[in-house]
Amino acid sequence: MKPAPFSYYRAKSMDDAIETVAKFDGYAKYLAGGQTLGPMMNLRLAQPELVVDISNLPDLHAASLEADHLVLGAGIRHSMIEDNLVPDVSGGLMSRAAAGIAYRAIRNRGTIGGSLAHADPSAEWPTVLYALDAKIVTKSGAGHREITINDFFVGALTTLLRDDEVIQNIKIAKFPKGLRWGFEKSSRKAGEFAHSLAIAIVDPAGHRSGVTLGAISETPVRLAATSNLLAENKHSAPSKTSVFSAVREDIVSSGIELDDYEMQIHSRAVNKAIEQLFR
Amino acid sequence: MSKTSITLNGTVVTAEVEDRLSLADFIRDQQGLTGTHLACEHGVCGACTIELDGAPARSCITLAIAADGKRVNTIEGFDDDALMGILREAFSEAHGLQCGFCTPGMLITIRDMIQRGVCVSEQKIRLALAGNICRCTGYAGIVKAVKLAVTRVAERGNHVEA
Repeated sequence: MKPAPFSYYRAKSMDDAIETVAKFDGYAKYLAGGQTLGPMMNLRLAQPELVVDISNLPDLHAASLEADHLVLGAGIRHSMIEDNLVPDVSGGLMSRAAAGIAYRAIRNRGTIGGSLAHADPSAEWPTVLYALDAKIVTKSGAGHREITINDFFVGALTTLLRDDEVIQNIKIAKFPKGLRWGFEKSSRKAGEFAHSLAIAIVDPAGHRSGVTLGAISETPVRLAATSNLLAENKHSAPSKTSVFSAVREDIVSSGIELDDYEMQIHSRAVNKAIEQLFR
Repeated sequence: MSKTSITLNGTVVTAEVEDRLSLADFIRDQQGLTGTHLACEHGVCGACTIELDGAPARSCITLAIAADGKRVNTIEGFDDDALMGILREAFSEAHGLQCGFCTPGMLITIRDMIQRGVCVSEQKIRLALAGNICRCTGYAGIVKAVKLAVTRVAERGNHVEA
């Protein structure tokens, strides 16, 4: 047995899970897909005393399409999004991103809410949902909270979630008609965490256009100069040189220090994502 | 200690387990099914891949107690499976294994790949195999075996029963 000893409790409902964690005097963790918590416990990097299993709660597996947005339960697994078994409002961006998360056996268990709660800066969902301006609905003993994704991530592996608070679902606004996206993940080995994650979006109406870069800092970064460059080039891709210098300008002005190699990896990823928009 | 009741290869097994016991340790040490292999024990290498409720999963990072009420199939559960039979033959003929340590996880992963129809090109096959590490074959024999199995499944008119 690799993990440190702990007690396991399978929650009967969301309220039961929250109550159990809230009243536990010690270190308790929610278990959703367990694809991060499992390894972390095996490596003894995480040593919770109580593990509350929320993976079987129907509340967390519901998906519903509303008039102008999609509500995805936090317990929805990556492979369900990959296989389009839940509704999509992102024109296929989420399915594409899901297909690149780790490996199929991991995607069959790992959940979108778990990934957000873990907040690994190199993971797919934090950056993708940042680019999609998602809202995160949480539940705790104090009731519900709706948090915009810009506020949700405090830093690497750190979110606004309180100890007993659970992500219940994620709200994603419908893409307007005619919106296009480009997505580029840079990694040396298939299935590993990203070295760079670039998402470029062009909205004909202009509201949702922009370039987002992940796996670069503690939280995803919106690239202002690169987004402006994209807005100025509506009909054909801006030159590679202009993209590279805009990305450099954005990264430097965000106060992120990169060496030449890292700068090259990120610039290339952004350029590839932009190129996809004009295919 | 908690009670877990798992449908293991079609038979319900019930046991008292320590809460922190992994499904892999439960399968190997308590049920004596040693076809499920353990290497990295943090979800990366794929050796411990089993089927959990019909889909591949890592048994090393799944708790035995969390599998309570679920269906688990290990490599031993596929003895009479027609598709797995084709795969075993293909692995044998195309040198899909040398030491065989990764093979149970490979077979369970590849059976799922064939069923989902992802084996349409060598690139897709290699991509889908990225979560199963083999240190002997350099993957050439494994990829060849997958292609051979896919061809044979097609030849038999897609009527391979799961």
